[in-house]
Amino acid sequence: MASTQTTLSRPRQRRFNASRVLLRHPELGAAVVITAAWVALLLEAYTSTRTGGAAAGMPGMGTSPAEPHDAWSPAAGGLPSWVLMTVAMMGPATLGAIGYTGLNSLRWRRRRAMAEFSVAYLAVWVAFGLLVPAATAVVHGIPGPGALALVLTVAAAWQLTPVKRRCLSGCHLGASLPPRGWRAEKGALRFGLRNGLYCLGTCWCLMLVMVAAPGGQLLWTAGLTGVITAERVVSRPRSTTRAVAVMLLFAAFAALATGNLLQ
Amino acid sequence: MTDPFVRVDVWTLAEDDPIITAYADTVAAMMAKPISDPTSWGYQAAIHGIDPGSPLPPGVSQLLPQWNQCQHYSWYFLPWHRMFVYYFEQIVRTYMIANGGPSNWALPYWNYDGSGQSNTLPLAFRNQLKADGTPNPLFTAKRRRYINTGAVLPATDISLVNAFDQQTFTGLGAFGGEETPAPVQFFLQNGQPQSGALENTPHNAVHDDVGGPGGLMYSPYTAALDPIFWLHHANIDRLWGKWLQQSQQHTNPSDAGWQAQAFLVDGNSAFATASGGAIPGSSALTCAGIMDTAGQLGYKYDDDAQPSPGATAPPLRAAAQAEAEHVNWPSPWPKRPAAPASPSPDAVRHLVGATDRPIRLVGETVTVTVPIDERVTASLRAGRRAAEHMHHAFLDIEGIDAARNPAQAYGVFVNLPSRFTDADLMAHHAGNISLFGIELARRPPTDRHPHNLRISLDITRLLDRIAADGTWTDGSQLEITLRPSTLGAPSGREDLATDLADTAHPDVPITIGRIGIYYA
Repeated sequence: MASTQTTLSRPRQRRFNASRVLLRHPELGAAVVITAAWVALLLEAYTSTRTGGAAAGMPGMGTSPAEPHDAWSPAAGGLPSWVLMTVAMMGPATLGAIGYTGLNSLRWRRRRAMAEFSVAYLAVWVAFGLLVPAATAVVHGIPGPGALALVLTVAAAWQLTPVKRRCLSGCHLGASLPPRGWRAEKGALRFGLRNGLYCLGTCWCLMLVMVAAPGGQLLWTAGLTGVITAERVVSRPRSTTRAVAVMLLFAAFAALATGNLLQ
Repeated sequence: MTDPFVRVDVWTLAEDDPIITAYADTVAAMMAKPISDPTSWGYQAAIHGIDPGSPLPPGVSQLLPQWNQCQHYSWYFLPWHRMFVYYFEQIVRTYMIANGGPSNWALPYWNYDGSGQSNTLPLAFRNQLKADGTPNPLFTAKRRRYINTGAVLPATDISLVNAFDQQTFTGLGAFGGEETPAPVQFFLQNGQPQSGALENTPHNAVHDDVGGPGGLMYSPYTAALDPIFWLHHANIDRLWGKWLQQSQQHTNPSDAGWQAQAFLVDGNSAFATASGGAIPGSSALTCAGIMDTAGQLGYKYDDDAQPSPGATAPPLRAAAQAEAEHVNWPSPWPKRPAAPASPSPDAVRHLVGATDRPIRLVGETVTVTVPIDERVTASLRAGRRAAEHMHHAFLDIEGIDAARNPAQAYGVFVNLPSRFTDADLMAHHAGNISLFGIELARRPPTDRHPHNLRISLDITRLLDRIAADGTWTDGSQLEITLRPSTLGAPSGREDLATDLADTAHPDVPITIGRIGIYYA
């Protein structure tokens, strides 16, 4: 069904006021952390290239099909890398929820509430990260470019499920946060946990693409971050998830056709 | 230029006035047309809404893109409905003239806030049969019980106090609604509500009161099928003009995007011409093109020269006086700045207190206490920018949800005395909780994320009022009462009072996540 259209944009001319911006956007602190995560990823990729890495790689992740498996193991230092990557990739899409938590908390406990939200949110992804080595082993057991094509196809199929759409919509839900005391702590943690679970349901398949991606990890990271963020920001869930599904299918065909995409 | 058509108060007309009888005849004729005809009753109602989950009406193989276009919870609520009613009126008038009806016909309005019986359904809409024994097209049984008997709308559901308390069109809880980035039905952006004070009360509450559970008016999908819908919206349209008249400070948004906004579907206007033809996008009305109803649209209201009775209500006068006298709110609230900042949609809102557990409404009165956080108010008082505050307070009802609309409005009152009079009810009334449209928010008919509802009520002048009259002395907390609205017994039918009170016990509970108080 077609909807009404906006015929003109609305340019607003307002005087910039830094403290007002900070009050309206308490999530700016989290944005700094996310930026730092990206800087760390870029530095790691740069260092890897300088020291003879096969491609601009990701910390703790394989840079070629020959050496991906062990690096994913949390025991081998992979978990911090996983957290870093989660912050970088999921952070931009989650800023809205972090800001919501701040704005709907008493001013003196805004940072605390946002931190609680973030810890609970990250805990979900850390738990998922513990399963990644096993997934990595399975994916890399598939020979040739088939692994990447398969994961991309599964991710495309997941995009079209009602569960995916429900999870994506769940990421947009706010929460009624109690203002103070243990209820406030519990409320922020619960909100973070719920948002993390919805986010996991939305993005787990896209994150598995990172496992199968054979090289050029930084490009994959940037590209998928763009997809995840766009999917979260654009307010048309059905059309957006379908568009991403088509894109993933196209990438799957390209992977098969070219052998190793972006290598 | 020809004289504008005049929309008149339906309660000033006799039941057999040609304005009413011609409307009834045209409604009957429109109802007889197939829904695929843009000039039919079904098509016009479907522009506002039609349930995509219901079986398709006969004559169409799919829902048309021109349907389900109504704008609520948006700063486009008022302009969209003005256009909608305007085009409908053209269709009705054109049919009438072609069939020998009055050529000067204009849609009457239902001024439920008028005098006498005006707070009851107009007589011509109540009876199943006309005086000549034929079916009355203006009647429908799909209304709340006893509405067709003359049950009285609750004073707080039709109160204009909160809407006319508002000094700006745009903003949270302001008269016309918060800035909305695009025309989207039941918009909720970043958890912030976009509906305006007039949309909240009387608009939503009257929909619930007239429709009742399962009636036509209680849902946007069916509301415009009830012939009284159009008179209700003519009144909402009239009240927009009354608010603008009330003060020179009351203005429509100057925002270029709002002014240029047209409502298009596939390049054409969402509405149809009087003969049912398409209106090309280049000729579609914009918000800027409908500001002057007499000059641009060719109609006016019969009471344009008079102040609205609601706009001069005692609570409004009391609030204005309190503001003029520079009344401060009791400690720990910040003192009123010497020159408060102008109300602005950009204002930063600070949470100063909230309830800490969900509330369930099942038809009973609920009172909760919201403690005001002294650490926050102290920082607001001491802050570098304390003098720049608007000195505005907002009451937000957050996370409102229900399986469907129980068609039961709840009045929201601040510091209502335990023993109160009717005057107290009006003076302490902040607005209403109505779930009109919850089904569109929970299951959007277009490609949108589902969400629950949130209502923001600007309680600044209410606090001014109760601070000035001395009933609010303890600023460390606010007591919020949620009271089900009950229709009054029809005149001469006091025996129905118990039955009417019983209808305030809906079987669909409403849950509220939190009540928050904000200061800006």
